[in-house]
Amino acid sequence: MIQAEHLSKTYVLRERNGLFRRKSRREVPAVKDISLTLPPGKIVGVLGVNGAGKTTTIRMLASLISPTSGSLTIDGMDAVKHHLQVKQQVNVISGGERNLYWRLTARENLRYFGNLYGLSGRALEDRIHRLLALVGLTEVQDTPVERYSKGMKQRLQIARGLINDPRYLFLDEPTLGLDILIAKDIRALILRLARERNKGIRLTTHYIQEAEELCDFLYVLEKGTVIAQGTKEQLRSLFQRPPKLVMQEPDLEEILMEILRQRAGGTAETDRAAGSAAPGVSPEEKTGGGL
Amino acid sequence: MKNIWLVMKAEIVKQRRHDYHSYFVWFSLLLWPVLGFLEVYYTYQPFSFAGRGGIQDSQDLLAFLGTGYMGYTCFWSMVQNAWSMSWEERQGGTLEMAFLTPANRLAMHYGKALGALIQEVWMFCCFCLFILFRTDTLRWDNLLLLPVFLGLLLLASTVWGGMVGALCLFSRDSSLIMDFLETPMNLFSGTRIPVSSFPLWARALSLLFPLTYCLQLIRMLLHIGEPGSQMLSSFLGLGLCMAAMIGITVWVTRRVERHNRETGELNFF
Ligand SMILES: Nc1ncnc2c1ncn2[C@@H]1O[C@H](COP(=O)(O)OP(=O)(O)OP(=O)(O)O)[C@@H](O)[C@H]1O
Ligand SMILES: [Mg+2]
Repeated sequence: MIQAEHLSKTYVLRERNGLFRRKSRREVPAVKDISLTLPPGKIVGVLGVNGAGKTTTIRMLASLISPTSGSLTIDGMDAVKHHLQVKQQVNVISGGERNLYWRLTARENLRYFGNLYGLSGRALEDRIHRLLALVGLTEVQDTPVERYSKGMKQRLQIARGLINDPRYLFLDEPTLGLDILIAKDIRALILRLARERNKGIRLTTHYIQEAEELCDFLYVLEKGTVIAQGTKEQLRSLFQRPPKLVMQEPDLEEILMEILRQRAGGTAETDRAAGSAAPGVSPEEKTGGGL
Repeated sequence: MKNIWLVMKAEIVKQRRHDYHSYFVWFSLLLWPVLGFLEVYYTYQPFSFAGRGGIQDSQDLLAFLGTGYMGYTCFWSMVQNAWSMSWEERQGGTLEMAFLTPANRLAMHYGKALGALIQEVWMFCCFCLFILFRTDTLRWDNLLLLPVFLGLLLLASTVWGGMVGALCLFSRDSSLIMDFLETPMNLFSGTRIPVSSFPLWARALSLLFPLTYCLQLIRMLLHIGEPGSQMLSSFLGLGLCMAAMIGITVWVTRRVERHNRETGELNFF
């Protein structure tokens, strides 16, 4: 269980105003007095507008940055004081194409990070093998990352985030800029990690649907403070809105999924085909309906 | 202990995979250093040798420059590599990912340094060794000195490289270190001018550069330059210098991590 109490983070910026004038000091309160918990096996969502402090919160919980005040314990251990020990138990996956060595192949990337976590030999190779299969990159495991598409890089990042088999995983917009199919697969994977592998997952996203689909509990941040929290049902009951009855045309997403489903019959054009099986897709599903 | 070695190995392997194996590498790793070497050699050539610093003839000069440039290239490649890697790793976000792991930070620094050293200077070192053999500085009967002298150079450069690497994490503006070190290190540490022929102020400055002691010791080992200078004092000098560098590295590594955890600047670029 991750337990954060009254966490605050204030960045201190020193800005130069011209060559000879003194640097001025400005404080940016990014996160103010946040308390939250993250139990194992649960997915906790954090929503909020740009700049609300979501990423800062995640970086603090993952012990990448230290809180200005407040306490943070991970499985009972003081994570501010013992941040190195805690790092064995957590990992961060953020959206985008960074955080990987582009000149190295998928396998070399995973091996490097595995070594840093103290893993080696057979155990590490086995884990790399399993992770690459999990995210569907087995066929391109020896291709330099720079030749990957965005989706493939994102999937490799997920593998990297799982290399130390963390108990707690922090996801910062993990489906940023991905197509709907890959995003769907990744969501399925996240759900499985929580349900089957009992990982505590903390997710930030700008896609409300994603949060609704995945999260057991939600926090809403605004200017660094929690302005609402609860389960989906609790949040819904905040305002007594009557259920809406709507006639809905099939939305474009459904249509697009259908088109893609019909087109994809093992063509080698999409990067998914190049990257073999998509994550979270069972073989039957793939050969049967064809994805 | 096993983990420390694992981390170092990971850094070395990564370094090797990371460097492009293009033909252009040959220019910066071999040709330019060789040209620099030749430039100095032919600059000195027309002048008569006064026997200063123990250099009597052009053979002595070649041996002197051979050791000087070899040491300097090793040390300088550490600076260059620390700077360029820290920039690239910041930009790629991988630096922060490495600091997300519990890996031993010192092992990371020293692994990077050793990796770069193995990767980048071997070609030029081969050239310098060739010079040393040609000038009969290294012969069959004193071949045992070769591993001693290479080991010494490797150790000193790695310790130096680890320190520079740690310093480079303080801020993204660490190119300052490059500008600050390039010319002074070349000039004052006796790469191409015997320290003994410096005026007093320059000799005092030369004491600040670990490379000075390293070169002194290597040249003494190989009997280049002034005979009769004290081996022991150079040895102590280098030892003290290395201890100080390791101390600085440990301290800076701690400070840097605290600083970066406060500011979250590790992935700024
Ligand atoms: N390293 C830093 N130094 C100084 N200020 C920072 C730093 N990182 C973030 N901030 C500031 O902290 C505030 C919160 O930023 P944060 O990145 O946590 O927002 P976010 O909720 O993740 O936004 P987004 O949805 O755009 O990713 C912002 O005002 C930002 O300018
Ligand atoms: Mg963010």
